[in-house]
Amino acid sequence: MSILGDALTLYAREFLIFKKNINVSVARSVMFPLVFILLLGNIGNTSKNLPVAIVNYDNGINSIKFINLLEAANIVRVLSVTNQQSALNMLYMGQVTMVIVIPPHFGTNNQGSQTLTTYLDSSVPFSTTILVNQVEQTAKQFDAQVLSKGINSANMQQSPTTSFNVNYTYGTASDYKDFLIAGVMLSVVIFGALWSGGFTMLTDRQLGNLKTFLVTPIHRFSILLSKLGMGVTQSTMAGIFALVIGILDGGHMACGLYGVALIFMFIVLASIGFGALAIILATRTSKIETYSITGTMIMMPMWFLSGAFSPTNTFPPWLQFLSAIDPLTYAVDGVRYLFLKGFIPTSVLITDVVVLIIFSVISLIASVLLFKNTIE
Amino acid sequence: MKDYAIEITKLVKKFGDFVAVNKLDIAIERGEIFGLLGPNGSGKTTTINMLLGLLEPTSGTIHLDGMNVVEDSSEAKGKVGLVTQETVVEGELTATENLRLFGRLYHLPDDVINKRIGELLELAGLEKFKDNYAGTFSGGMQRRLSVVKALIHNPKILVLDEPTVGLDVQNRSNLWELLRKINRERGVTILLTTQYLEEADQLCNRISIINNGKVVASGTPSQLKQQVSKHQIIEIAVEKKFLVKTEEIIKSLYKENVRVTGDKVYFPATGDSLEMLNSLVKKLSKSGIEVVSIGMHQPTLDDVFLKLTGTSLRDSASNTDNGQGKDVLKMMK
Ligand SMILES: Nc1ncnc2c1ncn2[C@@H]1O[C@H](COP(=O)(O)OP(=O)(O)OP(=O)(O)O)[C@@H](O)[C@H]1O
Ligand SMILES: [Mg+2]
Repeated sequence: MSILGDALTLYAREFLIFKKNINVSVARSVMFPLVFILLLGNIGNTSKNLPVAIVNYDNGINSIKFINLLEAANIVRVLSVTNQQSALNMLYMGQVTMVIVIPPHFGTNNQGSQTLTTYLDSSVPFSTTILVNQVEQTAKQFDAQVLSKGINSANMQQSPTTSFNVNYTYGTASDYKDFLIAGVMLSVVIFGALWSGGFTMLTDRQLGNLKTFLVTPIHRFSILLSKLGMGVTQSTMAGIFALVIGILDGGHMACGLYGVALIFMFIVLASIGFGALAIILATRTSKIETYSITGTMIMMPMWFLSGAFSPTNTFPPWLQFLSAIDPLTYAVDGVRYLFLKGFIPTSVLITDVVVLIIFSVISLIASVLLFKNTIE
Repeated sequence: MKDYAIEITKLVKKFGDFVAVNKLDIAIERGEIFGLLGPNGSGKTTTINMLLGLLEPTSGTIHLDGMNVVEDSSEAKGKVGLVTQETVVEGELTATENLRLFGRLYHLPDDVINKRIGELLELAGLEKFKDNYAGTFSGGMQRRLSVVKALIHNPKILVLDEPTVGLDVQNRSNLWELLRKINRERGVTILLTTQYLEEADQLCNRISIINNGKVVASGTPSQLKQQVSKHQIIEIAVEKKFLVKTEEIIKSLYKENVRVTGDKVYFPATGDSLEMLNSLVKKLSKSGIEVVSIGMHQPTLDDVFLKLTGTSLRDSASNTDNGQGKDVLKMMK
């Protein structure tokens, strides 16, 4: 019989164990995304006094009214800055999170509509959502309270409105929740790799199960495959949970349904690659403690460096270098890209996929070779 | 050349500089129950790992039913079933599922698997529990399940590594009964390792005693015991304060093989043991020593081991009643 057939037999065994412990397994797959998306994703909603620089080229009564409205909710702390360049410098330095430029003749423009220009620091994604919302609401209030009264609207087709455009300093329009979902999905993958396939490989070794499998005529590789298969299953399951929770909680996807297939391709690739890494570790260590500590020590930095929680382009250069050699970065980037931007430009996605495939193939081969040399 | 079920020739296994198995020669005939008796760390599991192709020997050869384990590994594997030192049943699987898994891994057709599952569960006395999760079984039941699991592919040889470690007396004798039945009714040759003299004595047709990876003696249990003494072993218990003096007196009378454990002094009888006892008790009471009890027993394998190695097997074995404790230590290295 084929290696694949044996792997399926062993996978069925893993699945029976999984099913027997279904409560624990599901709880684990749900808890992680739930905690991260609901808590971390919404944590910014409570923020207060976010520093905003205002460059006021108007200085008339209406712009003062606008600023007062903006400050009223206590979400924003306004700093007046006289020129746009120094305001932008403050933004880059992290002293303010947003810059709002108020044009001359604000609120007195007889053409009706008027536009504010804003600049946002997207490296603090959860505040960007709040700030954008706050500016939007203030604009509406301003329209209702000031604009519609102050201007003779008789000769106009529609009432004048205040709009604003948003410029992100790092190019990505990130709602933190959308930003986070990709990170959470891949976090589930690497920790799943550590606690599903690799971990059971270790306990199978310790309990002697592995020995009893190895004396049967099956090929060793099928044992490995079954572990990886189970890891992929659990990661996919957790990934689906993360996706559903994220979307129910108000996240949106730029890539649409077709993109979901691609997202799961990333997840499968990553769980094969990291699953194989975990299995290598499991065949090299003998104690659960050693495995846990070493595994966490390897996975944690990879996790943080991948940009799962904050954009890697805000890292200092030496960290950026480390994150560039972290395979997880490419998985997070790929999934996030699909989430936030969709498919275009494709070249970025292709890079991510290629790097991830290379990583998975290498670690798979390494796990086969190293597993071959381990006894017990 | 005789056709053996298991033939181990000049087997050596080194871990670095450490020689775990040292020129082991064992030949087991078909239909035998053979015991490999040795204390912790004597190389039993290492030998078994090599026997099943899990470890590559440093040198030497192993034949199972005529098949070279290294060269014809897959054929050799089909001849033998293994029960590992750790009780291996899957707690999350039912008894039936446990057996089916291994039937599939041995690539048996489903109808054969189903037929054998029925037979084997009956053999283990577990047919009532076929759909219960193995995790709910008692230690003895789990052990019996793991034994019949190793028979799913109808092997000619069954290898068990310390099969009764951690079992109580009742379960131990149940397992012995099961092994005898497998040997008798199915004609399966059995090789088992043990630290328990009693087990080797009760169960095995022949024994090899190993120490530090070397065979120190081989033969039937009674042959081995005769090596120590053809006569009974006398044991005299005295109060602790008299122990040293008692030993001195006995040594002055009978130079050979006097030993002390706990509150007892042992020595082999020579000639008429009753007469010996009488005169000895008289001598002791003359010296003011009160004898608490006095007895005789047939020589045991422990006596053999003591004579051969100078240490008591029971002492070295009793530190870790559960072999797994040792294994964990080994893994930490
Ligand atoms: N992989 C290994 N690397 C190094 N030393 C080993 C290895 N496996 C076993 N040993 C050593 O070889 C010796 C024999 O070990 P083995 O497990 O065969 O003993 P055993 O007779 O089965 O003992 P026990 O009754 O504790 O199961 C021990 O000293 C052990 O520490
Ligand atoms: Mg052992």
